[in-house]
Amino acid sequence: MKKGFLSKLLVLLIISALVISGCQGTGSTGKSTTEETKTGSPTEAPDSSLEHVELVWYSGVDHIRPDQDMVWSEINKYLKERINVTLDYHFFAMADYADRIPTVINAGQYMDILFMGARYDFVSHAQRGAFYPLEDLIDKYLPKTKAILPKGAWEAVTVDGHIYGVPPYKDLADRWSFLYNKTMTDKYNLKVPGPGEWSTFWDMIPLLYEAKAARDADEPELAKYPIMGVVNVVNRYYPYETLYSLAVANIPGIEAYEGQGSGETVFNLYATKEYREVCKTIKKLVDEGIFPYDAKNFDPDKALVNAGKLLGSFAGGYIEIRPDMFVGRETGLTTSKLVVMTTNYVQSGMQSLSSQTKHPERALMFLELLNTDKTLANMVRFGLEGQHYLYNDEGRLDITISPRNGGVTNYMEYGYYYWYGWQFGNILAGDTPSFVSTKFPQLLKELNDNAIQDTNLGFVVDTAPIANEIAACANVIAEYDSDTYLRSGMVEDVDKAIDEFLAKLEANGAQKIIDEIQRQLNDWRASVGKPVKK
Amino acid sequence: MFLAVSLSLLLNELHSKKLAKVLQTIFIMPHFLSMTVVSIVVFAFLSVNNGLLNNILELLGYSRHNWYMERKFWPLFLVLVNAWKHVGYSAVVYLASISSISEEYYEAAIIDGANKLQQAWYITIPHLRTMMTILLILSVGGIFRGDFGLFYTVPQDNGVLYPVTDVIDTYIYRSMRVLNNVGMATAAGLYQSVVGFILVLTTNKIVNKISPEYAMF
Amino acid sequence: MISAMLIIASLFVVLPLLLVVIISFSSAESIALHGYTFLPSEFSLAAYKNLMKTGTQIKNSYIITIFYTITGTVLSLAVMSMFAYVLAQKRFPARKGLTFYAFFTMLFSGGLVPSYILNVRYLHLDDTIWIFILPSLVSAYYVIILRTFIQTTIPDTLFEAAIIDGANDFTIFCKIVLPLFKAGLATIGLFNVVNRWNDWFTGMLYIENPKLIPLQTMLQKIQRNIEFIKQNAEFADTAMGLELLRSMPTESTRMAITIIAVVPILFAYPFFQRYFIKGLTIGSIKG
Repeated sequence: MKKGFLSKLLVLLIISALVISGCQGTGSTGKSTTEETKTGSPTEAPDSSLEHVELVWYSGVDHIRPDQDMVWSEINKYLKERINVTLDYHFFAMADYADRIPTVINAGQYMDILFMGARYDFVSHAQRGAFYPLEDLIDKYLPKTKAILPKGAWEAVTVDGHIYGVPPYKDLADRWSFLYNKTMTDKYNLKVPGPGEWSTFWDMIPLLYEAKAARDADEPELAKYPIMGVVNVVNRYYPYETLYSLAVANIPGIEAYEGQGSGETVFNLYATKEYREVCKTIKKLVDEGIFPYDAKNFDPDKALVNAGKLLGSFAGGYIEIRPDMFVGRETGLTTSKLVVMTTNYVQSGMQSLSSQTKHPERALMFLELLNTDKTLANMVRFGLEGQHYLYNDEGRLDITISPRNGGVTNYMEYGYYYWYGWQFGNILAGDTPSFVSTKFPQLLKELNDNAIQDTNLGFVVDTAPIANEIAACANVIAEYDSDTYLRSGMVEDVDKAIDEFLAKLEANGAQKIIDEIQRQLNDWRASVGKPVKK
Repeated sequence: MFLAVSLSLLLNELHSKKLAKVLQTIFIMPHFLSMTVVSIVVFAFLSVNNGLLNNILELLGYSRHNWYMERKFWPLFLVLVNAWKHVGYSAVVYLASISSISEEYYEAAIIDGANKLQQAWYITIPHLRTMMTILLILSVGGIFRGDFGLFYTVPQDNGVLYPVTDVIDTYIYRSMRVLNNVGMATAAGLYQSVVGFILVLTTNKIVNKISPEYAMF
Repeated sequence: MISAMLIIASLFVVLPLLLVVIISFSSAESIALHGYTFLPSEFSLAAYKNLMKTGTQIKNSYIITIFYTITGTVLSLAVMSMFAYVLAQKRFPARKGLTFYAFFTMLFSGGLVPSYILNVRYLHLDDTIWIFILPSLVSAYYVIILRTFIQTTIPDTLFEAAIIDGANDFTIFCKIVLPLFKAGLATIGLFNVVNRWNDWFTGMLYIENPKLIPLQTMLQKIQRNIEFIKQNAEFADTAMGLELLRSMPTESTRMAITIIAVVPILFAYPFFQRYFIKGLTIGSIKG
């Protein structure tokens, strides 16, 4: 076969085009926009003097509601009146958003506001200039929001000295919560540790054994079923602060990992004896029938959960719950005394401005309104009064008696409802719904105010020097440290598997990652005046 | 390939046209299913708590296996799934080329007293040889591009199984998700294309040598 | 004997699919108690009733997928066969170069992000039906198969005679090529239908409007959403995650959606079968 000159030329052209686009990806996506003019009008400007702006907003929501367009066209009318802004909103269900947003950002799609979070690679997008830095605009355009949020929250969304997101005001600190089947514990006279009387999952394990023994004695045919779903998050056993990938640090005041300092020392989570102990404990609990075997596919239709045959679930972030959350039984909640604010937890959801935005001031004005304006907050979270919610006799906002949300038993079927989530700013800006108590705002505030904030909030790893090691180790970690392998309780020889795991991590440069992150952490801690590892 | 050829030989021997048509349809069916669907089908068999395979094992008095964790079985599973999905299709392709063999050869063979097996061995298979070679070579061109769907969707992206299920495509895909680096992903894609290109050119050259009329250019 | 062997072999092919069908008809209790079996203790139509209840989205997706598949296939066959016709003409000087040009796209593609940029920022195809039709209109592989098909089935002398008779290319294409071309078109048509029907990625990446979401994308989304909640512990553990998990479609419902998504494509095959085998012999292998 003989190729013509033309085709050779073509090959060359296309290859070079590919090479160029291949090389571009890393550097050129953003940064330049930081220099953009900041000629916005001052805050006290009357509404009429602002020209109309349409803001493009990408966000992930838990589920797309059927009445979304109906509600948001009303919201747009309201916003136009208040700040002469309308929103071109693009909402996706969470998993779809996670699939789509990296491509959308990398393709340089125009956006003004976008929902971000640790699971969408907030930090690496920020380091490559995907977002608009906010630190110079906050005092002017977000004064009320600034006052609402704890200082630690802003530190957590700071990357390389720039603030790249506005966290919502909700539970900003992690508190271990145990949701239990109160009908069951009452029936068998089980004593559940009360709120603040316990600290980690370890304190719950004796209760699980008691509950299983009592249930199986009462209903022997259930003996082959576990008493609760698997708890496979290492953090719930031994709390730590994630710095990056396998590199973690102790939380000051808890120091769950022995001999690993108090937050200033970086160590490899998987090499600790505590990690080994957690894997073994999970296996023991699976073997003894407390946790299910193959938890990932256990009871997929929730038949046992719905029948009230399980004790409960161990979770995080609960303030209070509805006792009637599950039909046919009472649900109780007890929370731990440990409350920790970490970078990761705060970063789980926030609104960022795209570096492409032409209207940063107006976008922030909108976010400020979202965080402070009751009418807007209610519309965004609960829909339209009379349609999606009503006020009941006690003056509480009630969605269950409204024409479009009333009588709904399946969460997916609400016409419009997004109360508890990260997407829509300050959760206390609007009313709290009737199914939580009136103390809710106070409880939330206490949770945030009492959190341990003396962590490495705001420290961000620059991954460039260790990119290859991180990629290589990430694959090893995905292989071993998964809820279907080491943390599944299904591995026969845990010690052997962990040794194999650690050997592979070492071979892929785990120590280099630890050393580099330790160096960066030392520099950072010195710069903010915290004690540094010797 | 052995399976596909024997299947096509058998199909060719069927006298009832109607049955032949129905069976062909059945055999080719899996070829048209998307990998999402295939992964659900596989899951129905291998699921630890509910899967059919474990139910059967338990019935026979063996203990349940956690198939999604046991590496040694996966090469076999993937081969089986791939065979299930594609054998019927290849068989139909072979069948098509068998039907183009002139009846005269067989008539002559029958006069010489050859039985069915001998006919297959001395007439049909030699006729299929070119086609078999070409199918084989063409699939070489595709080797570098592993079937992403097969390797990603069917084992459910399970970390434990990476050592036996990871192909270049899935590795790149995951690395991209971790490092989130478009430049690197594009570069890897280009690298892959170049190697694939060279492979296909070579394949084409070989095809050219064996039977020029089948070459692409 | 042979038919018996073949029928047994065909059972091996059918049984896996049958299993999915049976699961979709099993009651939730039966699955919880006995797992997946060919003989569930209790049959139930609950899964399908569930689908009916939340059915507008599925009906929509069904209709839109059929529309994409048919329109896309027809348009794509029209364009590709004309392209192939040109490439098959020995008197067309740029033939080799053009063939290589088409062939090249088969091996080198821009990758995800560059195509996204092109489709969205320059062509503005996102969230329109065109994204399902235009970018996949021409497949170089099929064009080359079709070209080979024309070259091997239609002798050059036929074209020459037609030209002497004063026919232009378009008349030749319509009057001579198309009638002789049915088997090839049917084969490529079937591949096209299957690919379009099974494509979930396009919908996932480019479509927002729920009215435009094709069936396979929907199926994939349901799977992904369940996986997502399970894999993101910090999400699954929250009140929202728990409520979401509680309201996810049941196993049997997912199986029912799978069946619904598979059935049409299986029925499409016998429709094409007559031409398919013939088309395969001449076209695909010689590609």
